[in-house]
Amino acid sequence: METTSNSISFADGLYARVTDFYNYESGLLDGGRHEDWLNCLAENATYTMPVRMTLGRDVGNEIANSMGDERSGYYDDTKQTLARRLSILAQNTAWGEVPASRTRRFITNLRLFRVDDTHVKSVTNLLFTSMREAEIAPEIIICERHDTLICDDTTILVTERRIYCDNGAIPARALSIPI
Amino acid sequence: MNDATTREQHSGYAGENAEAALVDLERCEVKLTLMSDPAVYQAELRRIFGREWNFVCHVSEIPAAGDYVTRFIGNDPVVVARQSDGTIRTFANRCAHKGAMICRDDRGRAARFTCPYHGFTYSRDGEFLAMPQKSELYGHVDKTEYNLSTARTEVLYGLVFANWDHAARSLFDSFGAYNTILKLTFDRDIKGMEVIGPPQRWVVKANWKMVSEQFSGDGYHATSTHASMLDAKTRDKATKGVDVSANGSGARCIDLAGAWGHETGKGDSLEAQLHARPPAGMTSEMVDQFIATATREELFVLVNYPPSVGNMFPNCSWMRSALPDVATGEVVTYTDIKLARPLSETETEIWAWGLIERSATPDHNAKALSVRTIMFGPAGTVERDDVDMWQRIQVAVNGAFGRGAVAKYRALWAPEEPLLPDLKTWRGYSGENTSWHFFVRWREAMLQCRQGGA
Repeated sequence: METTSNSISFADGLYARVTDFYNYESGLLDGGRHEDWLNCLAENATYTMPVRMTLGRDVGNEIANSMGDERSGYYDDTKQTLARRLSILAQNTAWGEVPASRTRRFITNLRLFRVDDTHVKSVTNLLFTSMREAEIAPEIIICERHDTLICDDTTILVTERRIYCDNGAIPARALSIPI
Repeated sequence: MNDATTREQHSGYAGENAEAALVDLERCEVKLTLMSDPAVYQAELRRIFGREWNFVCHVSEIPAAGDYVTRFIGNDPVVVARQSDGTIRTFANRCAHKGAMICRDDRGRAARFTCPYHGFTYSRDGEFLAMPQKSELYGHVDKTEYNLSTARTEVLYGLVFANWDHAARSLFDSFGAYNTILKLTFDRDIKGMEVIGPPQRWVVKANWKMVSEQFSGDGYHATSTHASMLDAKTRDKATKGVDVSANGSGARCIDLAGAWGHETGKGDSLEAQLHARPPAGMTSEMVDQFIATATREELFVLVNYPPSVGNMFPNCSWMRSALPDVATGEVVTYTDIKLARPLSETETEIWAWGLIERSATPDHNAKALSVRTIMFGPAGTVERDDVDMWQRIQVAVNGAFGRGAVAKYRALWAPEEPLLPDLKTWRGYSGENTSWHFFVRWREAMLQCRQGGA
């Protein structure tokens, strides 16, 4: 659980390192460097994105309570299944990305929490935009991302990513590539 | 039985109209303006979504009394609620007072529904209960005037359908010979199927009919559209099979008999064959239970030509695939229902439910879910290519000349030996037969004008 006692502040060196990592990682995805991006994930990494529901206030307003069943979602992946998705995408016949989407990930509001000696939890806001051809308006996904990161002196890797989107309905193309 | 005659007698046919004329029965062509014309969309809302059986939910979404989900029929919001006696009711999510939408939650459990505007209250079956200050303001009021409009609700194979037209033929009759196809897809397990969580929802910039027409029977597209997914061997298998159609609902069945080189006859060898080569996900207990209640026809179709993909007219498609799990290669069965909700003439919101069989092993079901999530849905490696095609069509048919363009259905031939009585059947490479029959049925539905041209 995230509390002020285990939070890592902006002034901490680790906060700066994680910020650098997120800037680097999102740059890889925006730049279509999918192989390099997979190297940002630990071998046993999981990547999940549940369905956003609209539920009554008495059911609970927290993010987790207005998400779908744990077993289902838009993504329910491991590093291996993500690699498979991206290898299919790399082909010229992956029509969903022909022509390619121009994506941009804006990652902000980083909150960082110490879990143990090697793990931290992060919560960030992600604004994801996707434009194609000469469309007037981008497709947009707005979400809160909950990551578990494993950090040593030289490396940061994502071991768990859970994406809680605000979107009750997803725009057509937005999830073609992991956001 | 001539379906067209039955429907004409049933609802007072008025004659050819502009919308129905967009489908040319002689030339087997469809004017593509029907994919972008707002007048066609408005007419569909009344003549199709207002009078056909519309899929609203799966029974497992509302298991207990008081459970409800909020859904749409066409573009009208409805509440679908489980009653105390176990039945399911569908009523307008619209207050009888001034028309406010009553409930905005996706799902919940409630004994009653209260409109927040003036506090009018309704029971869980849409019956009016009370308004505040009734005696001071309204005196005696005829309560029946305030009951919420109810759509007729019928359930088959775990699927819940609603129809605003209380004079329409039954759900079973409207499916006709297609019933067996649905039973073999959704009703194999004595314990029933269960949805895996709430539906995925995504919005595509394309007319709903592109989705429904494709799922009615376009196997032809698999080779090219899904080239990134399929190797040459799989492509060949994907485009050949047994295509069927009844009353505008279409399906493609896998030609297992062809793959094995022989058809298993209707004698006792059907049971043995089902035990020897059970469909993916079917345990031997499930096979025993299925055999105990199935007709010989049902056994014959499941063993030789299992249904794999189709569309229930008008806009509820489904898939029952046997696909290899990515990690282990084990073949699992993944079942999916997809509703193409018509937002406008150029936009559709697709809702997709994943389903598992309760009697299948948890391990199988987990793998099936994994397959589903990777291949289908808005992030799906298969589905995103289909979405791209539909959106391509919309861009091209929106133009002034595009509206006058015509889709020509030429890969057509006469139906062959029927797989089941009254089920039109075509074998071999997937032609355009069942997709064409989607439009034949669409035209029939659009012909049925009521007084006042509704």
